[in-house]
Amino acid sequence: MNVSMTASAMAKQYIYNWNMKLNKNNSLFTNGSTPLSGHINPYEDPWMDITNRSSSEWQRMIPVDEDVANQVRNMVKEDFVKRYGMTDGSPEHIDDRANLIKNYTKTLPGEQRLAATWTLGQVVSEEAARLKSIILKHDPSWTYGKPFDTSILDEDPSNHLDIYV
Amino acid sequence: MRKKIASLLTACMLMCSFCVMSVSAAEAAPIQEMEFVQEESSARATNYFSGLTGTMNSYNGVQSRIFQRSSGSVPSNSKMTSVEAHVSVSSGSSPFYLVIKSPDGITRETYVRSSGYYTLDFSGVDAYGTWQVYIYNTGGVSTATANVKYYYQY
Repeated sequence: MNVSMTASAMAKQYIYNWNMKLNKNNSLFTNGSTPLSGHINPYEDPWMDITNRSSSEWQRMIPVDEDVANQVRNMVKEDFVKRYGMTDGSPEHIDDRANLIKNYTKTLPGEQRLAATWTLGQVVSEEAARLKSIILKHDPSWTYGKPFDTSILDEDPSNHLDIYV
Repeated sequence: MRKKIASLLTACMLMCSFCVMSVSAAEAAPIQEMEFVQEESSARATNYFSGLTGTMNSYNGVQSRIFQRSSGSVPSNSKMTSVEAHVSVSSGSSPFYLVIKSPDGITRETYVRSSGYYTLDFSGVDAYGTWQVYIYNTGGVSTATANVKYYYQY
């Protein structure tokens, strides 16, 4: 192995060799088949790979940081107040919510990352559903993007999932 | 008669050149091109955004260039159902892995030996943000392009 290699290059080379060994019989692979169990994508966090995972394995709720969950809720509420339920599609802000979640899950042990990502996704759904139900009480024909009086969103007290660390 | 044959040949050549030009134009189309299809149902609506990648090359396990696709502005609670990639593989390419990465970092990959449609399940994953597509192989040289559709519900 080249001594001038960086640690990350060495790790990638090791995974490359590992995959080569594993894929020795890759002529047996059919088009569109999932990689063999044990195959590792050297370019990604293996804990965030759902290729060989069943949904029940990672689509589960776990306790998450309350502050992060509240920030996610505030972002969803902002979508409703500023854009009638639509997200901000501008290049400057399009990844704000995903980056908040990603930066938080990176701080967690590997085995919790997918479940924490899923949990925060459920926080988004729960908050959007809560706000939508308030709007529908006033306008049963409301759909995403249709203007409404945003002051009605302050009528109902919040009633959140209890999912905090 | 000769004149007629000559004009027929010229017309054929012109038509062929138009075909080649339109393919080149499609490949060079900016990745920001976006299509929307919406199917309303009583409970949930289905929609998609899509984009073309440029040429993805991988040799001896090296990751190709990463192509990005933004969801644009979508309903706040949009959740993915699946990602469908129509992959065009260059002749003589080694098999490779096609990787799709969600904005919050969730990845799924599939093994590609030849051109065709590949569907990757991303059920329940947040659709909002920038998606990534790339390939890598485990030896040899691989070249492909993909037309990727990202299906979501809200």
